[in-house]
Amino acid sequence: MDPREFISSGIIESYLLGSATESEAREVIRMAGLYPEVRKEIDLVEKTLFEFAAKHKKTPPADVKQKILNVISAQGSGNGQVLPLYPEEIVGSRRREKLLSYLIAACIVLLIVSTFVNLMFYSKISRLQQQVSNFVSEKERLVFQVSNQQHQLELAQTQMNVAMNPRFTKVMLNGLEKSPKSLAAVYWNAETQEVYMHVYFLPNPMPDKQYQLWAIVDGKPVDAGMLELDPSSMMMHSMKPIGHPAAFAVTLEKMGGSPVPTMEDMYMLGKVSP
Amino acid sequence: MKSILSYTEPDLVAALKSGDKQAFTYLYDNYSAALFGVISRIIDDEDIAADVLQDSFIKIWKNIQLYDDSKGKLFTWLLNVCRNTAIDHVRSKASRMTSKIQSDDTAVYQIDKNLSSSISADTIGLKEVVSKLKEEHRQLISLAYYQGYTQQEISKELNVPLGTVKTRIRSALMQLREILKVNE
Repeated sequence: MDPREFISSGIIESYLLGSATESEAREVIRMAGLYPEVRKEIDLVEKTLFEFAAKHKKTPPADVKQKILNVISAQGSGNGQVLPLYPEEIVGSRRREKLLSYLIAACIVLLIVSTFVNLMFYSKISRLQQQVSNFVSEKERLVFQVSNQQHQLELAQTQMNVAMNPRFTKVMLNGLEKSPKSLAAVYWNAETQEVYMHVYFLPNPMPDKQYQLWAIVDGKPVDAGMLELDPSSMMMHSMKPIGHPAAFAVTLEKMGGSPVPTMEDMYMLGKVSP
Repeated sequence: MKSILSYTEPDLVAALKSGDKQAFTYLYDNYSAALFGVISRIIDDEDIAADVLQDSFIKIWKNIQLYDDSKGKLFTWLLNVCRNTAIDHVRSKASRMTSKIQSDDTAVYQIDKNLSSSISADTIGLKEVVSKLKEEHRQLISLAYYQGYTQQEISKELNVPLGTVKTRIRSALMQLREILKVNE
């Protein structure tokens, strides 16, 4: 813009009277930097404003000065001392405030992120915990199953060893009057005197009764042990060792057995073939 | 700015910015009368005008860091702080007294009344100065200088195109410059 045109537009007066817009003010500063005549015009208008005000001079009430100084002293730090660089404090504290608000914002963001991550991990961990406990119970089940199977395998092996071993003599025990359906086999090893019994059928006893195996040795009944397992378990029962039996018999006795057999409660009998 | 200069303007500004109270006292001693004159033309009541002067000087002390000498002279800045404080005071009072709010026409009338009362007041110099102004210029100076009207507002107020307002304010100030014999 032509500087003379700019000057005569009245924008400088408007600027100095504080009624120019932001962009007008920037334009005035720009033009003043570019053209000395604009700079000079600004100076003249400012002088005019000053001189005009100087003509209006009016002495303020005497107490005003002291009031102002009191207010300023009250706001300062020391009494009568040079005030701390007030604006620096402001700038510093603004900077601190700004920094603080950045920090707070960063903290909030971190908090949100960490909450999110925590939730993610928490759900992952609880899923894993569930899996682990599943695995543990699965493992316990398997261990139990394996040990159970091992036990059964051992029993089966024992049974097989006993049944297949030619050194064992098999004695069939048949049911008597009391229980004609009862049937069992006793395996006896003449060398080791081991005795096993395999029950095929025996009625379940009363809760306070128990079956007892007897061996007839030299015409006398000898205790060959109690039937500890459930008779229906189809397991091979390990009994007491016996030497040279002529026959085996089973009686129903009170819990824990009896020193002598109760003859009227004899269930099974089988002779050892010579 | 012919004062009993013991400070150059840049020194005074630097001292004020460093929080020097002596410099501030100097500022008050040298500028308060001119500024109080300006405030008194906006606010009739002397007590209120004194309060406004006090507020203005406290603002000046607090905000001296905002003063930028590349944008204008110190006095222009001081003048605008005082004018704005006074005008804000008048306008906030006016908005509080809604029942007494006048139409724009009477507001203009009041401005003229302010001006004429200030003419009759004391200063011979001012009386001479203002009386030498043309009527239309006198009104414009009053509106722009004392009442803080923007040029847009004056344009609306007086029903005169904005361009005309700008050039008239300019020629009013040119006239003042001549009357006051302001030289480069």
